[in-house]
Amino acid sequence: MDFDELIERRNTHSAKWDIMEEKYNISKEDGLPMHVAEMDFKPPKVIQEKLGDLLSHGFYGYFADYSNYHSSIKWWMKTRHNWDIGDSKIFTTHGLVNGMALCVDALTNSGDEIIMLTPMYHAFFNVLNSTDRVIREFPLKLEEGKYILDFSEYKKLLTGKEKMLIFCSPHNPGGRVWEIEELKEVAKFCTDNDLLLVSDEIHHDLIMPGYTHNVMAVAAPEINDRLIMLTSNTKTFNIAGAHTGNVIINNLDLATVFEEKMKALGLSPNTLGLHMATAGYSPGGAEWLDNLLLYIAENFRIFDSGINDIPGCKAMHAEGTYLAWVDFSGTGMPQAEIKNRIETIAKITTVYGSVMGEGGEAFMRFNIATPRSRVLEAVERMQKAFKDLQ
Amino acid sequence: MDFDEVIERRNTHSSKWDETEERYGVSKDDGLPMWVADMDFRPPVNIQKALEKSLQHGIYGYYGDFEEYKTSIRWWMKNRHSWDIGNSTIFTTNGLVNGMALCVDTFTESNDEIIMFTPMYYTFFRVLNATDRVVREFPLNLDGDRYTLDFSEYKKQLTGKEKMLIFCSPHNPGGRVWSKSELKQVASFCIENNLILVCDEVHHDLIMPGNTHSVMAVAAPEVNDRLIMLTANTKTFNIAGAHTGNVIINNPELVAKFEIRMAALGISPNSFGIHMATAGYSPENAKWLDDLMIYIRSNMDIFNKGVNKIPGCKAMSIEGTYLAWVDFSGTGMSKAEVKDRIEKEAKITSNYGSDMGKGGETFLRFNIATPRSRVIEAVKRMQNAFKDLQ
Repeated sequence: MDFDELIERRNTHSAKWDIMEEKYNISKEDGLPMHVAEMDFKPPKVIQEKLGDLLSHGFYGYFADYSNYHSSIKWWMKTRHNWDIGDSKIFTTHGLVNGMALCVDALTNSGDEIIMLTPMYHAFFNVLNSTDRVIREFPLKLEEGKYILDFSEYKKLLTGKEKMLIFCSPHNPGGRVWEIEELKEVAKFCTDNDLLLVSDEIHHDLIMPGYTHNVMAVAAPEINDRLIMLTSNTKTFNIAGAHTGNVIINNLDLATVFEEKMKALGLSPNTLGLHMATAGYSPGGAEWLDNLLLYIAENFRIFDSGINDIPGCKAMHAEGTYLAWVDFSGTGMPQAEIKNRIETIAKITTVYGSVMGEGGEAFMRFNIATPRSRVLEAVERMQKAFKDLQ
Repeated sequence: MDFDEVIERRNTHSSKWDETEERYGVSKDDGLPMWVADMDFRPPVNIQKALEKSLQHGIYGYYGDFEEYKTSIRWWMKNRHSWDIGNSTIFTTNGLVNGMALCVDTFTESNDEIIMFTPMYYTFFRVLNATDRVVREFPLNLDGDRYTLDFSEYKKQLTGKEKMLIFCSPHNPGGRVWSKSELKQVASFCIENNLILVCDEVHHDLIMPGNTHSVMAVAAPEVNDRLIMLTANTKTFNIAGAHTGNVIINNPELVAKFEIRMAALGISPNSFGIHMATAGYSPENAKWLDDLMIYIRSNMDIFNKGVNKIPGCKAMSIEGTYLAWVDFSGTGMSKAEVKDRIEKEAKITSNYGSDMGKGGETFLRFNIATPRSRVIEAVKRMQNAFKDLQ
């Protein structure tokens, strides 16, 4: 796989490349999109070949027989994450924003409070803000440039109306790969306070060399009866358009409630997504992923060091994901000024930390899963945009 | 397009072909599946081409810029159905079972009563039975070999708790293409009784030559402020696996509610489905569809004529859809005996009318959208299975 290959993605109905003008007023002719979380790389050959087979056959009817799909998930979780899914139920949703939303809809009620450790992936705010649940933002603690959990503080914030904690592992946007002790603390907090734990592990395959991800169900098996795992390989293999994710539940009562909700909402997965996801969880997919991670790690090194050369800018060290998280507070500039420099001068699109809850205000999120030459270009543009600070 | 071509679909994760053993105890080696409503024909060439283009590009990210998709829908509705969608809002759901379910979820409350004219597409029962709404079955009137509406009867059955009518146009099962005056009666019934009208038109392109379908929004514009239109081209062009349907709403208050519910459930369409559906609504495919319906008409004639030769069997006269609807009551046999002959002797899988509500008990539904040779084979097997009656 040649991750350096530049593939023209403009005018292909790409949310990342084709709506910069509309969303940021940046022309796609010279804009550099780093906002939408998908990669500018082709997925592994096994997925392309699977799609090729489907096309040659030429039928796209209703899908049946999930056994290959389920065994591919089980195989991957066992070999890659040491997680034996066992007889937990696997529900397939239309991606994991839908999966997370269904957890909230099925397993909480009007007026219930839902905790998120902030800053937090903005799409989860969009979902919760459309419900009649109450969002509780419990901020992560920034300690020596790294996010940590602060349960002594969180305990003080509890009202008793909290019903669910939505946890991101690895963390999006800060790229933390949580340690086993931290995961156990999260589990204990949920057990102590009678919370359901939704563990969004969509980035759990995207771990930087030197770090080890622990699946919540393995790190803290004591939580399994109140745990809902969200997994998918749409980020892993860059097939976001397939809109296919898994909600994995061990507790039979919760599984029953969830299943009934899926039926009541008439949800069943699309055929192409299932074929692609099945093909992805394979030795070919694993090999591709190992190479990808080395490439991403080098992209991070280049991007972060370039950004950190700008006085007042500080990129957080990402242990996982392909999302760089940059603190601009040291520049002393207001948010409008920072946006203006990044968008009008550097012509780069980012996701604003200000839409990710408490603690995100001074940050911007940059997707660096793109060919190296674009990362270099981004650094150059950023340094230019802030060159008066040098 | 050669609709006669027999294409092997077994062992391709096809619900229709690969699940007959599990669901019916009918081996796929010699079973003839006539249950799941997808066709054994490849979709039109330009849908294949759209997918090939995606595959050549090789990146399958989030979809952006829905303008072309929406324009294709507007063009088709205007040209094929004289329906000017105007400024109604088009929501794209994960197929129309999801679309219908979202209407129920959004526009009705616990214990609200929902009317369906029965017999009715069984999946809608499955959805409603998973909710806490109350299903009200208002049976269609069997007038010779076609269904008619019986409002004088329906009025007597009203409790005042009804909030929604789910209407199938053309009707599934039963294949009625409703006349304008019938549609106006439905509209007037909804206005008089303050009901939201959900008009499922997933089959509205599949009209037998000689019949004319009228879109509800055109036939009875007076109902537009309480009308929700469900449309898709997944049946039309045989791309059910794309799971892409449209919920089209004119009333801004209903639009606002639906939009927030979509956001709360994190529902957005998969990119393959959008690419395929956009390619589908095109002038060349209008021609493909005309040819298809001529082929289906002959299939239906052959099938119905053959089945009607069996003493006691009566196939309904079909004006639209590709679903034959056969009454076995004249055989005097028990349901178990009829099933036994069809599944064990004829090795044909069908959908049971007994799952479709009042009036369906003695019927079975047969999908005849398959190459002619299979339709002839089906007739032969059916006649053999009941040959003692001849």
